[in-house]
Amino acid sequence: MSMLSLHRRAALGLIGGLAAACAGAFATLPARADSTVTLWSWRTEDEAAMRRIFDAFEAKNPGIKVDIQFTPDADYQNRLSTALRGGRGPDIAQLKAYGELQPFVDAGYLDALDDSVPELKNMADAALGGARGRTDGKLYGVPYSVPMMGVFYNQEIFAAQGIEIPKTYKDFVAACEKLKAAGITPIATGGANGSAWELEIGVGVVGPTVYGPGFYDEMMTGKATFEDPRYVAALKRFADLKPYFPDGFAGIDYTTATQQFIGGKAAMFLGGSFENGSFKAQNPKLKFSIFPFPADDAGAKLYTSAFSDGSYGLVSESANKEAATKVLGFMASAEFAQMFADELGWPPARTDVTVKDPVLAEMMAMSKNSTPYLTLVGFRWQSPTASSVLQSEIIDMVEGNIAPEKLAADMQAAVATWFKPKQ
Amino acid sequence: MTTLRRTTSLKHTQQRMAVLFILPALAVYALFVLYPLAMSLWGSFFVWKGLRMVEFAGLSNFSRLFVFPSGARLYGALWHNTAWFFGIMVFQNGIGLLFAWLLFLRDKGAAFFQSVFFFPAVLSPVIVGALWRLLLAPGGVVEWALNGLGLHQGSLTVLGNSHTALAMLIAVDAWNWMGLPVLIYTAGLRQISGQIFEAAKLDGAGNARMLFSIALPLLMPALGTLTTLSFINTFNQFDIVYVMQGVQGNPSYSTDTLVTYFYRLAFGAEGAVGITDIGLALALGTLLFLILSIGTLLMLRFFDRRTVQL
Amino acid sequence: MSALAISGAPAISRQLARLPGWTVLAVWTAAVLLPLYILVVSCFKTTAEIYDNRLGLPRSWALDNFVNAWTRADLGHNFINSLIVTGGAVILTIVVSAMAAYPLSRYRLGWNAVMLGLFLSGIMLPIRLASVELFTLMRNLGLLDSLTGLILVYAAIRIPFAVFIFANFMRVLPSELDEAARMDGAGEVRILFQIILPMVKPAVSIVAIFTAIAVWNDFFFPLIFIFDDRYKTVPLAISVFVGQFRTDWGLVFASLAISMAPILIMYCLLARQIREGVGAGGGMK
Repeated sequence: MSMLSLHRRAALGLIGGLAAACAGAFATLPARADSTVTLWSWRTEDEAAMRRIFDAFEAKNPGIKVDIQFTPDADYQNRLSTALRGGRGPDIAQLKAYGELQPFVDAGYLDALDDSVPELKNMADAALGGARGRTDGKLYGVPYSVPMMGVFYNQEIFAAQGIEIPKTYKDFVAACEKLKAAGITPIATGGANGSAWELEIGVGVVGPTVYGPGFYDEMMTGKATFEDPRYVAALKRFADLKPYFPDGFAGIDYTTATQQFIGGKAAMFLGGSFENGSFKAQNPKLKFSIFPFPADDAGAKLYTSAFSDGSYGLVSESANKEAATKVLGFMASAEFAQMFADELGWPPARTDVTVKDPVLAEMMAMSKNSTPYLTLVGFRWQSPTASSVLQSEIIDMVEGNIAPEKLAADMQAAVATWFKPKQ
Repeated sequence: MTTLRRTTSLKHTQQRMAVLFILPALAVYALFVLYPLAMSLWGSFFVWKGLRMVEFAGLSNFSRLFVFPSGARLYGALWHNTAWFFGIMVFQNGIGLLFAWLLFLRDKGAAFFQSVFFFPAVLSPVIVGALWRLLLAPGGVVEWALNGLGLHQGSLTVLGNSHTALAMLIAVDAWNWMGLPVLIYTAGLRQISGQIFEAAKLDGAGNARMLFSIALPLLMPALGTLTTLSFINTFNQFDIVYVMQGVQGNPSYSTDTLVTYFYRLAFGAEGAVGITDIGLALALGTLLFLILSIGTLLMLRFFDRRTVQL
Repeated sequence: MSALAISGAPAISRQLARLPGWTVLAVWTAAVLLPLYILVVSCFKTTAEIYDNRLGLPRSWALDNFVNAWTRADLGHNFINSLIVTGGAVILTIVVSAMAAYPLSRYRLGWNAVMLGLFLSGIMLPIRLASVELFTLMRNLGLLDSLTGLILVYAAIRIPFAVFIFANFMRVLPSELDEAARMDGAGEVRILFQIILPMVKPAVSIVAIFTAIAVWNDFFFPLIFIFDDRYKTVPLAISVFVGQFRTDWGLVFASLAISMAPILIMYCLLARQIREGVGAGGGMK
C-alpha cells in the first residue's frame, strides 16, 4: 500500500466520520425553541440596534424567537426573489417600496395585512403608500420609516472653520471652497461597486431646489419628462459639485464614503435620514446635524425629497404565520416606533412618538416641506427603471465622460418603454 | 461448442453488468446536467409569465434579446467576453508559454516555479477577487506602490473607471490562472524528442528561434487544449466579476459578461429590482450554448488539422 | 532533464546569458507571492496600521482579527458544511465514475463509443446556463437549502471528467487481468474494486484532488441554492462577509486567510500530484 493510499484512506475515513457525527449532531439539535420567526433585512448597518429591539420583544413574548438574517443591499432583491421562488424564503421579509414591491405581490409571495395587522390604520398615507399593491390597493407590508434626505454636516468642523449653514447655493459653494482650502474633504459621497444608489440620493438632495416641488406631479401627468431642462439642470448641479467630492471619487463606494464622514475626514454627507442611527452607532462622539440643500434664492422655501423606505411583509408560504403576525403587529405599534426612533434615529412611520434626538427633530421639521423622491417613487415600477439607468451612468456623468443631457435622455428612453402618464 | 456458449453467456453477463455499473453515474449526470440543459433549450422557445411557461413563442424571445433594451446589454457583454478571451490568450497563455520555455531551458528550479505559479489557481475566485479588490482599492497597496515609484499620482480608481475596469479584471484572471499554460506547455515540451532540439542547436538556432519555429508547431495539441479551455472559461466568466464589481457589471456595465447578464435575467437582479425575465434568460442561455458548442468544435478541428504528426 | 542543457560555451557566460530569463521568472514569482504575503501580514494589523505600514511585519501578532472574523462570519459552521459537501462529492464521483468507466473501457459492448461520448460531452457543457431549470428541479425535489442537493449537483458536473480520466487509465491495463480473475470465479464488482481500481491509483488521486478543489472553491451553486445561514459553504459566507465588512481591511484579510488555509495546506502536501495531474488531464479542471 502506497503512502498516498494510506493518507487517502485516512482522509476518507475522517470525512466519513465527520459526516456521520454532523448528521448526528444536526439530527439532535434542539427543536427550535417554540416558534422561531426568520426575518430578512438588508440594513446590515443596523444589525446591533435591530437585535436590541427584538430582544426587548422576545422578553415580553416568551415562546417567540426572532432570527434576523442580513444580506447586503446589493444582492438583497435577487436573493429574496430567488429564495421565495424556491420556497425557502423567510417568514418576514423586509421589502422595498413602490415599484420594487410589485413583483413580489404579483407573484403571490405575500399576504395582505389590512385585516391581520389592525395597527396599520394608525399610519399616515405617506408611509403606507410604499407598501400598497398597485393593482388591488391592499397593504402588503408594515412600513417602518418615511425618510427624507439632506446634507449631514459635521458641527465641529463647521465651527472650527467658521462656516454657517449656507442660505444660498452660492454660500454653499463658498463653504466648500473654504473647506477644500483647509485640506478637508467638503462632501463625502461615492457609488462604486453597486452602491450608486447613494449618488441617486445625492441627486435627490440637490434636485428639488432646482426643479421645484411641483415637478413630480408634472412628470406623473406627462407634462414634463426627464429631458426637461429643469431636470437636466439638477443633474448638472450635482455634477458641478465634483471638485468637492473625495479624491478618487470613481473608486469610492457608499461604505467608504460614510466612513470618511464618520471619521471626521469629510465635512458633509449627502444622505437619507436612515444614516442617523448608523452614524451614531459607529461614532458616538461625532457631533453632526442636517440641513436642507439651499436654493439659488435666499428666501425660497427649501424642499426635500421624501419617500417611504420600505416595509416588513409576511411571506405566504411561511410555516409560522401566527407568530410572524404577532411580530408584525409589534412592528406596527407605537412602542416599536418609539424604540425605532430612539435606536435608529429615523423618522418612524407613526407620528405618535416623542422625539428625543435633536437631529431627528431637525429632520422631521424638514420633511414638512417635502416632495416625493422622484426616481424611486415615480419610476421604479417596471424594468428598465429610471434608477437603473441613473445608477449605472452617474459616475461617468460626474467624471465628465457623459453629458447630463445624455444621461437624462437615456433615462427617458428607458422609462418610455413602459411609463404611462396619468391623465 | 462449449466455448461459444460460454462466450455468449459472458457477453450477456457483461451487457447486464455494464448497464448496472453505468446506471448510477448516468442517472446522476442525466438528471442534474442533461435534463436541465435540455429543458432550458426547449423552454427558450416559449413565453414565460413570471415563472410559468405559458405558450409557444417561436423565436420571439430571441428577437427580444437582440433589440433595445436588451440589445445594449447583450452586445456589450458579448464584446466584453470576446475581449476577455483575447486578453487571456495574449497575456495569460502567451506569457505562460514564455515562462514554460524559460523553465524548459533550465534544469533546476522548474518544479519550484511551477508550484508557485500554479498556486493562485487552486484558490477560490472569491478569495482572488476579494484580495485584488482590496489591493486595487483607492488607498490600497497598489496605489501606494505606484505613487511611491512615481508612476501614478493621486487616488487609484482603475476599478471604478469604466475604461479600465475590464482590463483590470482580465489581468486578475490572468494572475489567477497563469500556472495553467505553464504546466500544460511544459508537459507538451517534455514530450518532444530531445534530438530535435539538439539538431537545431547544432544548426546554430538560438533559443528564440527554437521556440517559434520548432517548439510551437510541435505544441499544437497543447495550444489547442489551452485555447479551447480558455475559450470556454472566458465565455463562462461570472465569479470574478461578481466578487469584484457586483452582478451589474459595474461601472456602467463595463464589466458585464454574458453569464452575469444571464444571472440577472434569471434571478431578478436586472436593475436590482427583483424582476426576472425567464424567456430572455433562456434565450440567452441557448445563444451562449450555441456559441460555446460551435466555437469549441471549430477550434478542435482547427488545431487538429494543424497538429504536426511526426 | 532538459535536452538543451548542453552547450559548448564557457559556464560563466552561459549563466550570464540566462540572467534576463531568471529575472523574468523572479518578477512573476514576486507578483504571485507578494499579494499573498500582504494578505497574511495584514491580518495581524488594524486598518489604520495597514495604511501606515504596508509591507512591513506587524507590530504585534495580535489574533483579534482572526477571532472576530471567525465568530462574526460563523466560519466554523461553514467549514463543516464545505467539508461535508466536498467529501461527499468526491466520494460519490469516484465511486460511480469508476463503476461507469470500467465496462466502457474494458468490455466490448458495441455501444461503448456512444455512451462514452455522451459522458465526455459533459466536460464542455455549460451547466450554469441551465440554472433556471436546475433551480426548478432542485425545488421540486426538495433539495434547495440542502447539502445533499449540492453534493448531487457537483457529482453530476464532475462525472464526465472523472469518467474520462478513469477510462483512459483503465483502458491500458492488460486484459489478462480481468480474464484471470474471472477464471478464478471473481464477480465483476470484485474485479473492479479489488483488482482494477488499485491499479489506477494515479487516476483516483487526480479525480479526487481536482474534484475536491473545484467543489471546495465553488461559489455559483451555493449562491443560487442556499439561503439559510446554516447551510452556507465557505466561499458564499466569505463573499457575504467581504461585502458587509469591506472597510475593515484587517478583518476582511483575516477572513480570507482563514478560508485559504485548508487549500494552502493541501497544496503544500500535494503540489507534485497536482502538477502532474494537470499535465496528464490536459488541464481540464
